[in-house]
Amino acid sequence: MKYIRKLLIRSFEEDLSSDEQQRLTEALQQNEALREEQKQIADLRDKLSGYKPQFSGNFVDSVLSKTTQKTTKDDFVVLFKRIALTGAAAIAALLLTIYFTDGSFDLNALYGLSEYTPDEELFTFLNPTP
Amino acid sequence: MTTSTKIHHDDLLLVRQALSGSHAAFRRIVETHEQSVARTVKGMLGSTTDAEDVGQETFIRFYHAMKQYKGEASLKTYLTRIAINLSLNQIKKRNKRRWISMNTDPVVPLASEDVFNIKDEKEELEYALEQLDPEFRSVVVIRLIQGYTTKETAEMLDIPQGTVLSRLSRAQQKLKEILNTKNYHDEIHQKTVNQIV
Repeated sequence: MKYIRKLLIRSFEEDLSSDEQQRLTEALQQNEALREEQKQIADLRDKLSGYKPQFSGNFVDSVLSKTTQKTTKDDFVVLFKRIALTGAAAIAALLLTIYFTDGSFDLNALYGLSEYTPDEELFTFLNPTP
Repeated sequence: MTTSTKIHHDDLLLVRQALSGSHAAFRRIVETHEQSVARTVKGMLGSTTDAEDVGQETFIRFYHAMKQYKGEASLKTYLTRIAINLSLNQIKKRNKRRWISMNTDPVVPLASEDVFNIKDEKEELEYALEQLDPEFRSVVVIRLIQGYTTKETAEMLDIPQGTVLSRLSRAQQKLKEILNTKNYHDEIHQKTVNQIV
């Protein structure tokens, strides 16, 4: 009986061999419970294939507004990245200019003090005139 | 050109237009596939608020991954895959929430009590589907609700065809039992109502 049940289930999914089909047909003719089961499975499959739920009326608009929102957020991220990259490039260019002008990255070079002699630096330090 | 080839061709054209920034094209995609996604998501999660959210998220995910869609599979298949994966994730989240509420709230309504609140055939089916384990439910949704072949179902879920058939067989058996029990409960309920009236 278990084998026949398997055949019954398979018969809904694929073509059975002629031998299998014959055995199932014979079993169905002889067994009323099996015929009832076949009917129940067919009904169930009909019900499932006829299942057609709907989303709420504003579904499409909700999706579109959310994709637009995400796009605006993405635009901000892209803008931020661009500003950050431009800033980083400007700092790098400045550092390179200092390095090529003064030949080092020490603090005096960064402050622009390396162009003075030690005396001038002391004088500037003691007389901080504008 | 066959109907399915034409649909596929139209979908590809709409995706291309949407990629080049056409909101109208994306709207058309959502409108065309809304019903199919609803069948998948509501079949998996029932007619709930989170099913609606998962449905929206399916299209939003697609919108952001549109560049990766090369048209190997039909758009319906592609969206069904996203919808199934998101639904399975949502079920995991639900189970976690349920587990937490079970620990905090000792009074949990039994699922069988919900039987009497079922109004129509759609709700009846959703109730029955909800009683299946997610891996069985996904097979039923893809094969019997969406109408894909056993082979396509196996490919979509990344499981052997034999597994699809065995899960289908067990799921149908269980669904039959649930729906028969539900009909039995309905009769008892009706008799009780008649007696009271």
